[in-house]
Amino acid sequence: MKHLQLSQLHPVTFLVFFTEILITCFTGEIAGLAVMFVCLMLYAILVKKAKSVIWALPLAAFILILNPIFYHGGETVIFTLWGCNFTWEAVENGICSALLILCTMLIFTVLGAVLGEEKFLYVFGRFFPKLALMISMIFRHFDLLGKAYEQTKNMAKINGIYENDSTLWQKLKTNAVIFEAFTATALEGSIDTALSLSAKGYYSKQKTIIKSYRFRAADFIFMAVVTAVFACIFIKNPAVSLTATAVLFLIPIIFGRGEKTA
Amino acid sequence: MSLVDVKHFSFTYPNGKKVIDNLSFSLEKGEMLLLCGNNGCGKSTLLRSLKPDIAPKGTREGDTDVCQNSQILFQDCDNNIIFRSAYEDLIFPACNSGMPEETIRQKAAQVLSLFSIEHLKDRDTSTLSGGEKQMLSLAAILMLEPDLLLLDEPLAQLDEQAKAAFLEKLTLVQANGTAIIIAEHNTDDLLEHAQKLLIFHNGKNTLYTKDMLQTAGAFPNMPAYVALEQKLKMPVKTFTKQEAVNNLRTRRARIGITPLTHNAPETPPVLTCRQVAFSYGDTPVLENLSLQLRQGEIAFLTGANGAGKTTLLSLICGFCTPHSGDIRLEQKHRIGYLAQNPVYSFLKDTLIGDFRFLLKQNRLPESKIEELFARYPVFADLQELLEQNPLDLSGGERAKAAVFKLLLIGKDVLLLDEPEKHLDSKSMEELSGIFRELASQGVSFLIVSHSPAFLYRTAHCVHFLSEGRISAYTPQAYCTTHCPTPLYRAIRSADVELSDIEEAEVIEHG
Repeated sequence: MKHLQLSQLHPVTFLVFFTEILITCFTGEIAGLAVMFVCLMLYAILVKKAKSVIWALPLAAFILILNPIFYHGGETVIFTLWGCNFTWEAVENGICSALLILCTMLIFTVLGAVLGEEKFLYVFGRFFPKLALMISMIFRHFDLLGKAYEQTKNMAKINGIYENDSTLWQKLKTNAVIFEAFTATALEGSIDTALSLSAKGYYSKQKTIIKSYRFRAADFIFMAVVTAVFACIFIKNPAVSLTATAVLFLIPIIFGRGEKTA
Repeated sequence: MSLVDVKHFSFTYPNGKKVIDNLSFSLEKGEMLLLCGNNGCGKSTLLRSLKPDIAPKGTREGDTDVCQNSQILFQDCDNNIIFRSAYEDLIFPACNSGMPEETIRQKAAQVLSLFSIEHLKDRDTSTLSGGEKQMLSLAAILMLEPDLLLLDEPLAQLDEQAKAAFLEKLTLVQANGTAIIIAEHNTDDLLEHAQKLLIFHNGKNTLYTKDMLQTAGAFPNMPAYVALEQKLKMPVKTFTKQEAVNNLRTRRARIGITPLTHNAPETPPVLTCRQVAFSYGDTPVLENLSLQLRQGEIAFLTGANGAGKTTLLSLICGFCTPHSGDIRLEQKHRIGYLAQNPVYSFLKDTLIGDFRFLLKQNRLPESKIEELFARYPVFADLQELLEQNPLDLSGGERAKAAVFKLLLIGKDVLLLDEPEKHLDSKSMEELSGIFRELASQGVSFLIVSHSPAFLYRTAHCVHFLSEGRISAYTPQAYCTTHCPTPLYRAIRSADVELSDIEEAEVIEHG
């Protein structure tokens, strides 16, 4: 029997699940966040999107290091340096913040890839059509801008722009020139895209939304189960809360075999 | 009632440049108007001026009365695409028109089938080739069954097969009553379908019908058979088979057909690709591909849209690594690369600033700019544009400037991706001459191109890429097998047999 995949869910069902996962991130403590991060990483590996976490690593590391340096509250002092107490609570706070950033990044990139712009537009297009289109175009242009920057840099490299840059300062200056040129080209392209949007009737008042999704029994059952598990997270018993968190974040892995991402 | 009625229309850009002067024409249902002119003459400006919501900023004089239901396709197909999903992009204009859902689905299926692009339906638009994006954008606007189509160089990135398919669809659309205004450098195939020709030449614009073309005199991007008719002073289509051949024999000196000899040089190789393989994810693109480029050789790389031509150039430049095989550039040779979209090669906000920056980074003197202008008069028109922002140049002006930059830094193995794409016929001919001169001085070229005229004038040999592998041809054999030259087709239009064409070919090319 073919198993249910997250990408087969109705967009509204998926978004409810997505929202519950996101809210859970902001309620967890260090153990819960660690469980969330491990589960999300496993799912990211399953859908071949593990590299997306690399972008968040520098910021997470930055917060992890800085938090105990600047925040000295807490009672469990690990050591004292230059008259400042480095406490376990500050370190724990830093770890929580770092894990939160990593989990949020994974949720948006990995689960967002399962959702895809098509489904996102379907849900929001009815109520906020222009905002939905703008967000959808942002998703597309992130990729495009990355490729355009790579192409600009490649062209510069092959045509000898970097050839005689020996010092770090020279390389930084050259990269700044390239970044400026790339930004100007991207802005110019955005004007042409805007013209194209206008030419394709973007400003017309009557729009057709293509309906292609139906609620099935599986959607109702799935929504009921995840909402029940989500509700258990708020039970004051830490063991029950942690277990519910683990179950909620294991759901993508359970349904993730053979998942197709956008 | 005319669908388009333009009376004494003039347009001046805010910088004072007047690109359209006192233009008048009208267009009825089912008529095609072909716009011809050199780069920067105002063709794209005219097309945009006919659509009020995207008209360029500037001073307008005169009247333009255009029907409501018109659609436009821009020159740069990358900016025509909105969505990541090809299907979403296809139905976007139809959704904005309020068309019922079922009608949208039916029409989408129809256009996908008509254009033979069903296989693109579920694709990510960022993975489509330039030609595929062009076809998708065309299909999207045709779903709306417009009364007027405004097309800005739609054939630029299409391979021969795609061009033929597009022209076939255009004929159907025209037969259904849609009027078409099309700006194109590649006029040979279009003139057959056009009723009117608007020629921008020497600062003036002149409207012709096809009957008037024999006495029109030379004009930019003139189709080859019109040139032949003008020289022979009779319509080519009235020739009998023997007359066609005899005319070439007896009038050859007057026609001025010069035998073009493109012997491939017997020089050492500068670039060798051996059994190269590459794929995007699970999709193989290149398989067991072998190719060699000699010193002073001009090799053309052709093939259908999406065959992997740009991918091969990227592999040679080292932007990505082949999964297997070997790419070797001999020592002391340096690669220069021109991308399909030359806008990425400009880094400063003026052309002269960009040239100077390039020379400075390569530790070359600024005097090279003047030297190159003196040496190659074809780039003389760039001197007027030196203070302009490269992003404000026309597509053709930008392409010329990009080639000029490569010559400035003296690279001796040049990889060019469709350099002739937006160039007018005169510029293309001049560029062809420059490349042959450079080749005689030892510069090697590997050029991706869909233009048979450019190929025939320039190439020593042709590499045809299909299903991941290469087949090598001489230019003559390639044009016979895959795409006859315009002159070839002109003679063939007089119902000449293949053997007669071959004989004429021998006469033509010695």
